[in-house]
Amino acid sequence: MGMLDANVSAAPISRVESQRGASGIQPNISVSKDYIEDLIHNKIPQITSSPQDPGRFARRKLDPASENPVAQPQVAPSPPRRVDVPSQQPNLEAAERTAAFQPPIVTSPKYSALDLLLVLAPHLADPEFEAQVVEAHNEQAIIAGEGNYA
Amino acid sequence: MNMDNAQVKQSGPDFKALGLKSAAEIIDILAMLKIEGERVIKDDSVLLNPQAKAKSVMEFFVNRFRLDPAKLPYLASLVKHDLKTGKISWRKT
Repeated sequence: MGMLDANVSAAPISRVESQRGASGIQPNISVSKDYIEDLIHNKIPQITSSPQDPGRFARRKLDPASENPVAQPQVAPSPPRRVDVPSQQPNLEAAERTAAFQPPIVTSPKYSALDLLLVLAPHLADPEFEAQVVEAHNEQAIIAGEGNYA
Repeated sequence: MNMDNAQVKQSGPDFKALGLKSAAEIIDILAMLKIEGERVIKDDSVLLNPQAKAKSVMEFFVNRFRLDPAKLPYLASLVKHDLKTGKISWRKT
């Protein structure tokens, strides 16, 4: 009887003490020193290194195999070479191409009379020429079945 | 501890991305650690003062592990993640 009373009275006290932390204020997170060092030396560098390489995530989305360091040089060099060759050419070549270019607007019946007039705008100071152009385009439009644009 | 909050927010990591709610949570998590039986916060009276608590946590990890204080959010994030996944757990004794 006396032993039972002692056990019953002691149980609540020990339960309260076990729910308190070592300090009696808050619980603890008990870990080992190796665990903390593993986080510091291995896990944290993994987290902090990834945002410093913004292209890493883009490459992952586009091509998961690009993580392979051997595969990257095989893919990467070819596009820059193709882009650099035309950029090294002088602008004279582009000017020559522009001068030699003749737009197909005049001969194509797919364009409207407005497009035709815009292309021929330098010549439109002469009203007779404009009338001839419009008349010629109307003939093409009638032949193509697009109706009269006059 | 003189800390310019504006500078910390601009240069520090994104707490939300790390799964943390605030800077206070970082200190709270790390302050509850007990490493090899040694508590990070030894003086309980420090727990009542947030600035002194943060200073104690920083000094502990700088002196014991030579950890850059700027890395503390990452450490707290990893500890919180392991707590959620059950890799480590609370001890109430």
